[in-house]
Amino acid sequence: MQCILSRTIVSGGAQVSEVRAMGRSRLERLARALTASSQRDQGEELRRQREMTVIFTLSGVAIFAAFSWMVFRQGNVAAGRTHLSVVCAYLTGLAIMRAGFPALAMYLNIAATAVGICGAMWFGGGLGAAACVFVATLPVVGFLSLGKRAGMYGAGLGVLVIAAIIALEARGYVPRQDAPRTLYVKRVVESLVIVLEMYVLSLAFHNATARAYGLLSSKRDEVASLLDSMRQGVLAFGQDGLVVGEHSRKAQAIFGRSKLDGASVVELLYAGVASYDLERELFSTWLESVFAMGRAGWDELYQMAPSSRVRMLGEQEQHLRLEARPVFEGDRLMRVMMLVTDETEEVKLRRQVDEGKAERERNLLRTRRLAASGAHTFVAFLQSARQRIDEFAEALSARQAPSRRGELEYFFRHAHTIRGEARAFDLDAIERPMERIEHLLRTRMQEAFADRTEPSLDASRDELATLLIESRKAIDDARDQLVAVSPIGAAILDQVTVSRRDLDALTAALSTLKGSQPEFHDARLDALADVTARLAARPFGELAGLFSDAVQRWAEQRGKVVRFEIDGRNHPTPPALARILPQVLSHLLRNAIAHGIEEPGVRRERSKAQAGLLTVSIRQDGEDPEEVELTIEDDGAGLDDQALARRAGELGLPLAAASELMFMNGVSTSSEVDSLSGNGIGMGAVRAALQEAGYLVLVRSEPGRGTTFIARRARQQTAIRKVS
Amino acid sequence: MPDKPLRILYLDDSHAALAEVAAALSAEGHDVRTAATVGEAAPWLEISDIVIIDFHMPGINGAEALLELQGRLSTNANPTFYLYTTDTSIAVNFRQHGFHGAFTNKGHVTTLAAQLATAARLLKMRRFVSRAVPAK
Repeated sequence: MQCILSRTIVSGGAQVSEVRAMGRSRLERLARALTASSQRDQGEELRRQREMTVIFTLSGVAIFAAFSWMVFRQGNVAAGRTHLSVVCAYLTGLAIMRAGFPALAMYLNIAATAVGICGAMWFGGGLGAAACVFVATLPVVGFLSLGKRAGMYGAGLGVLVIAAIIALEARGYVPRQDAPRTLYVKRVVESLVIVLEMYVLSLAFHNATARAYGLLSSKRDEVASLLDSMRQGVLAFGQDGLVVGEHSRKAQAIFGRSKLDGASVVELLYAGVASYDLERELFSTWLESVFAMGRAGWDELYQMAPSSRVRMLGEQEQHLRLEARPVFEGDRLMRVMMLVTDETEEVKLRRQVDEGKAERERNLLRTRRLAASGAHTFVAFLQSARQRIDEFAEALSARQAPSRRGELEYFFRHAHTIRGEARAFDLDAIERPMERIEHLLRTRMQEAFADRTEPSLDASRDELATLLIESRKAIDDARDQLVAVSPIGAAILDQVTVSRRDLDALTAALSTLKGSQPEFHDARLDALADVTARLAARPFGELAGLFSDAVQRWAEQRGKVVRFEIDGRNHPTPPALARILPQVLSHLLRNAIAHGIEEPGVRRERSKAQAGLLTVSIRQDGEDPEEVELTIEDDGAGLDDQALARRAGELGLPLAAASELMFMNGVSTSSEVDSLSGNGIGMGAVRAALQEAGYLVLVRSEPGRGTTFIARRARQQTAIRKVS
Repeated sequence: MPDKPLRILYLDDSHAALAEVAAALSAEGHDVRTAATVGEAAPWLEISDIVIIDFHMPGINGAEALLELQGRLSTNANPTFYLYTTDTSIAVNFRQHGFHGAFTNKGHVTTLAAQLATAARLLKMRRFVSRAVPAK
């Protein structure tokens, strides 16, 4: 479980790193695109109105100024004045537009055009041309303000207006122009051509605009898609602290709002926080400062920006990581893009892992303490608790659950005892279910007492059964953990602490008994002697386990990696061997690390695992308890026979077998003498000690495959078993 | 350990509170001075970055103590004054009382250390801006 959690966190962390790795410049480009598109959106309508007004006004000014000049030349002063008034109205419209009211300017221009046409109609001179201007502008205005269909209606209306003017003139309601009819017809045709041309022009303009807006829309979609694919919530805000432009869906999800436009970023991050909250003030001050300072202060202020925020959503915490990116125009800061990452799940997972780790470490420490200080009390507790739980479970699974008050009190006492003992051993996992069982039993008994009936466990039977299963599992886990940390393995479950003095007294008494009556041979006395010998024999793991840490330390000194294994942890070690075992193992293990196991690089070249394997084991090798075989084996380079022989030659010693040379004092192949190896005395001392205890040392080595030292009882003359 | 140790002056009538806060903030690396009265606090005003004032004191409340201390300030000195209280209704009105900010959850030194860290960042930011703006 822990591995899965850790992997999840690592994976999450990798994703975060990936996003971080996007780089500042890329994020800044993204921010620029984001805010640029939003600015385009905002200015779109205004710009269209301005374009429309400028086109309309400039064409109107040009045409009516030309007409004015023409009619003045013809001597029609009234018409000339009218046209000049219209020009003035157009120019006024331009001024109004510059003042920020383009729509008003547009309406003024249309009104001016109408006045111009009416004036031309009543005062004569250029009526046809003025009408042309009006009908030409209708489709343009219609198209630009309302779209293609309105443009077509405008064109149609223009044709109707021309037809109406012709009809009015024909009936004599409008003063006829002096020009001949052919010229008048020609002007009307020209007007129609102009209308058509204007319509074609407006269509082209419409298409071009549509393409531009299509491209813009596509880019905006790309930006939105990019934002949505990011793990972070992305939003941008301006100097007023309000969210503007595009923001990602993730941002909506993080802040739980479907719409973020116009929302205050301070409120989003610090909703419900008191006004005196310093974090909130820090962020507000930062916001003011970065916009006030612009580019000049960004780098410094960026370092001071809040990098995280914990929001409270009811009772739940939401952990957010914050990153800010600037969008400058020149030296001015226009926007700040904020990347918001919701790290709540990661924080939760991390906490769970940390809590789990702490719990496991507490358990391990407690169990080590128990194992070190004599675990028999703990083992006795585990056994008795298990028995009590089994008994209760059996009673509970019977057809009729315990129902007499006495029975309930009996099991209540069991639960109470187990809980108390579990607390003494700091075993929460057992204490908790026992506490619940106590509560259930007490409640049932109180209810029965109040009702003056016999208590019944039927209503709680399922829950009690579950709690008993939970407790049983907790006991098994505690036992497994004890075995795992115990240097003597499962033998820890079968150990009691015996006084060495009592044991020696027992051995001496037995020896005296057998010695005083040699003729008296009793099998029961032999059995007693065997039991006493077993009592005196310590488990092998208890002695070999002492070297677990030391082996790693020695290997580290030599730049080597070693895996140390112990086989036969719970096998009794004969007392004679046990007495010298620390000395023997110390020498042989150091020797294996110094001379046998290669450095990781060398092992790699030889296609071996980087970590060398060093194994010590013990096994029974006869019927007598003393008849054991001790093996120390490594998978290193094996003995260097040539080096041993060379060294012995240098010392003038006989060139005996290599395995014998190594036990001779002063024969060492190592060029350096240090605390770990090299003086050539240790191995001789090892053999002497083993021989004194009644054991022979045998060596087996294969170049490149390793060395095995075997110690066996001296009386055995069996062949050396090839191990390596 | 903060980037740059803050010079803190803490005014509180409770000697136990003074000792506890002084120990906790000194352990954070700050230079802490304590005072049980306005008179004791006054000499340290000029060299303090942050002045923390308890609100409920016998005969004088934090706002009055602040006024008195500000009256003794020279024009060059510009410490930041923080109100220190458990009473959120008083903390909310810190500006009305003339304080720059409020530290809450009084008596919980771990929280105070965290609040002080934020206040230190705020101070650094304000100093940076005030230095930079005239230069612009």
